[in-house]
Amino acid sequence: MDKKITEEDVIKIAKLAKLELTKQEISRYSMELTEIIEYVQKLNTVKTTGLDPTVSVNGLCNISRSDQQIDYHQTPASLLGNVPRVKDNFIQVKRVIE
Amino acid sequence: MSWPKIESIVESLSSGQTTATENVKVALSNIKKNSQYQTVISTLDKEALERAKLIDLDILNNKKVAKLAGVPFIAKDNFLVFGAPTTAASNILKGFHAPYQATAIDKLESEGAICVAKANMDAFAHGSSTENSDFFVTKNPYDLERVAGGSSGGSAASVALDIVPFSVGTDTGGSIRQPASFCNVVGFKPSYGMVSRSGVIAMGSSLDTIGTFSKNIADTRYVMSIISGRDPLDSTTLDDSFKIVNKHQKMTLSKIKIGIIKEYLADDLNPDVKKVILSAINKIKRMGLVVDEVSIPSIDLALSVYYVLCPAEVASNLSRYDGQRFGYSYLEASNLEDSYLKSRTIGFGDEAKTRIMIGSYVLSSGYYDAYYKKAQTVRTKLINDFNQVFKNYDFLIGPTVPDVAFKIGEKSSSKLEMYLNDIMTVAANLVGIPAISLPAGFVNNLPVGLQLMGQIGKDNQLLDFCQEIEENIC
Amino acid sequence: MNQENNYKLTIGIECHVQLKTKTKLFSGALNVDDQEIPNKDINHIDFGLPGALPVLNSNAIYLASRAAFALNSKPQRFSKFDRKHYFYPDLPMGYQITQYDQPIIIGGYVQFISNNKLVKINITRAHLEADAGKSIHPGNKDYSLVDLNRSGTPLLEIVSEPDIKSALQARQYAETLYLLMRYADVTNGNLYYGNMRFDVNISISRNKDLGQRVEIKNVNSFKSIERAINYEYKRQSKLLDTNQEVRQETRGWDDPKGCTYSLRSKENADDYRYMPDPDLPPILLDEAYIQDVKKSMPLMPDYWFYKLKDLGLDESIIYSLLEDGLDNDFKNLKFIVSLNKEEAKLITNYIVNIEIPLTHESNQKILNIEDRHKLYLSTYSLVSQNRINSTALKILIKDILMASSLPDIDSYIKSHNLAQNSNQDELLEVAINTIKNNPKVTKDILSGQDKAIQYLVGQVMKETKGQANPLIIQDIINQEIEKLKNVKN
Repeated sequence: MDKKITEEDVIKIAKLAKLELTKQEISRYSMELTEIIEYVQKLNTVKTTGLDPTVSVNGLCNISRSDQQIDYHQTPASLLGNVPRVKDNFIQVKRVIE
Repeated sequence: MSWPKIESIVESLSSGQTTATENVKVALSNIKKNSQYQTVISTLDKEALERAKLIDLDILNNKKVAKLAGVPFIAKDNFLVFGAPTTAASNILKGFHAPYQATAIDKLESEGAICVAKANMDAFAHGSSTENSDFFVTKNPYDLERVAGGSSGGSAASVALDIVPFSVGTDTGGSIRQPASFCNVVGFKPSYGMVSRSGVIAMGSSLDTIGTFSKNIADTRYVMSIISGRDPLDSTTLDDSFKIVNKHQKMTLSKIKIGIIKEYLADDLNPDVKKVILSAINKIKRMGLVVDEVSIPSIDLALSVYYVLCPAEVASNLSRYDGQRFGYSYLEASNLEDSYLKSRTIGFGDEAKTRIMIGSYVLSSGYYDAYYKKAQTVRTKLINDFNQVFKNYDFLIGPTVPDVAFKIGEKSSSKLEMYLNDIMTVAANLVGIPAISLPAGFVNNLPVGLQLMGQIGKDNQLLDFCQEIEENIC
Repeated sequence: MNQENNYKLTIGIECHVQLKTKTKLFSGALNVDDQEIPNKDINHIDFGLPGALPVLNSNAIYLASRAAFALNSKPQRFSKFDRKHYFYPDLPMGYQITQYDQPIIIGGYVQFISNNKLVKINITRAHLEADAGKSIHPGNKDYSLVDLNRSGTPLLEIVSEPDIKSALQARQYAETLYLLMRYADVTNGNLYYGNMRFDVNISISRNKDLGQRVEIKNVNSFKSIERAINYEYKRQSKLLDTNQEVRQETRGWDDPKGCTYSLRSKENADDYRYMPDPDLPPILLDEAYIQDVKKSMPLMPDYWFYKLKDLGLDESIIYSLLEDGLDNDFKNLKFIVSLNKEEAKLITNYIVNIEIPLTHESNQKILNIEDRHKLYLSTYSLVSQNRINSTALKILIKDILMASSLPDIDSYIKSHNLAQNSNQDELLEVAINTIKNNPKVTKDILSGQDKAIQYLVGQVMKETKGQANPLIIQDIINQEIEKLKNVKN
């Protein structure tokens, strides 16, 4: 099976991942991704009938907390402290165009 | 000077032979003395000395001496620590200050340990050499021209260089064991869920584990007994009944059965490394226990499974670095899309981008079943195969890495070649079992690590056994 | 002519129900609607800081399990959480935690009476998910502002099959869903705060095939659902009538303008790159838990509906009573179904027309419910014995409902001149004469000066030497004035 990751694929994925790639990068990622995806192709030769995908490697399930307020000892100021632009306690971002 | 065992450090402190302040000063000056190795990204001089002062005051006032009182340590830079920048060695987090702290750091600090510096690493823990750090490369303590390994290279080298008695790191596909092997220290990756991941920057969330670097098993155990345990902030932490205890349980060696993983002794292994490993295994055999070769055929698939699952989780986990709420932000952006694109493109290094690209590809519409789901299913097969072997064997043994530390730049040409460095370490992460790298000898003055693996949740037994090995053959 | 005969209308509804947990779905921050300070009820988890991990709120599982039974389904033994990836400023982690292929609820149905027919709408699934924050877009600015207080609020998204056939049915479906969720006690159901938000999928076609699907996002009142669908039906019919194509797209609803508008086309379908969330172990509910939840469920609206229907009550009255049940722990419903048909007819009339409006008046204290029921029963006997007329009765009930305790009814009637007047005809005659003798005042009243009625009431009082209750007099005069108005028209 041909598993070449074309430059078009790379452009499409970069768009999904919000990355801006130069022409050279697009061509390089096309090669690198192809190399890696070809390497992992051997998974498709493995018989896995009757097996479920792993969802919890250490077998835990039903881990939850009770519905109580938790004081994490954080102030809004400490959280907003890392925000590049704050306006009236809001996080300011470039305008969202619908 | 060389750091004694951690329990002795604490004893000297409580008996008044030394002070926390003195310990911190020594650690900080060690960092300076070894600056050519570039082990740390930032130091916490002021904060560490302040904390030391408080601990010294407590001791003067005859307060109870905590288990790690005045013991300096270094944390990999992907642990959120109060008062220190946390960058994960990535430009995208330059200047980020943690508004909360990792549970592991909280636990260490509440027992009096003092974080003196943040260790260098591959950015976001993507790599096996720290060459992917956005800042600089950590040098191997045994050869300045070689890598210290990675991704926790700075943490490993710091202990190897005796800068601090112990350090903490993360292991997603071998990031503790591989640098431990390259730097001749004990590197322990516990069972998945043994230590809380809360406050540690995620790489591959279903694979990430938190562990230690130290000079001996006793210290490993001592620190692990403090940081392990269930954390209400991490839903994947194991119940406290699995917690690592600071108590060595003597073993009846004749009853122990060990399996040498046949696949790990195959052609890829450097023959000189193989010699060292087989000689170590022979010594273990002479302790009077059963050692057999065992085969886990699906182990050859581990790296493929890993390089689907891990990038997928990486791509997902790195979505939050978008320049809007923290970290690097391209402020000159013309619009929102531009802000996203530029912040991420400028902020992330090449390796992060590669993994985001692979991960986004395998998760994208039409490919999920063929890659991600298939890999998680093969992972189940791998888990089953390991469980099968563990029915007959208590521990598995083999090399940690197929080779000794490589030269800086040697493997930069091919990503895949670099990824192959993890071939013997990723299985333990996929299966969730505890694994450790012990110093086993040298090849041309470069260290070789011996890897041991135990059953999931049976970290105490693995450490018990390692203690026996240490006492008998080292 | 019914326009819906021209094209076949197919509607499916996704409803986001905000669960009434105390804290958020994955963090211990408060889940509140009315926080006025932006970014106040947040922490490292809701903020999506590096290293932050979600921890599931067990109450959300409990409430979702209750919702399952309300939807005539039951919670799944196994379910898990997934990450849905997209970039948006109010989505801090770059992904939403939701349930993709193994949600907590699969299957179920909702039923209601529409145009005298029982309509059953099947439920495809319902899943738990964390809400995003809120973005606001100030006018004429090049920025948007993000508030993460809502980030991580627990939602149950209920997805219906495309079984809905008309705008009316769509509204009724939403109203029924509202009642079900309130009866199951899983949401505060405050529509003003968006506790229930609806995404309406609609397609129209000439034949059996489905037409192009248009989604109307974030409709948040029952009436708007009906209006939005009617608008879309017209818009799309016009396009089809003139052989134009209906675009597959997402549209918004402008309530004041009463129209939908294009948000974005769905041609470039989003690729959400779903994957199981490795931070959250799966949920495995055992049978005992499921049975416990089932046992804790109250009687649902369907049960009461048929009970009330058997008493011969009108549907509009029934729906008022079903909603009212929520305000008094179903005590009124329990009381009503214990009555016979005649009692029920009269007493539900008091409840719907006097009691319920009173309970909705702010700051209005009301007699406790046990005494209310006693009051209704004793007044029923007054009426059946013909001891009081209907106007006087309404006055009496309203006054006593507002009293702090239940008085002795007989003496209350006496002291307030509310008894059925033996010379009622005489009173009527005096009233008619008073109107006739005051043509100017009457003219004023007719021209809208209602206050002038008080003058006439005074005149009648004088004439009858204060023997009659002024409110009754006013009622009689009002009736006569109404008659005059009708004559004029």
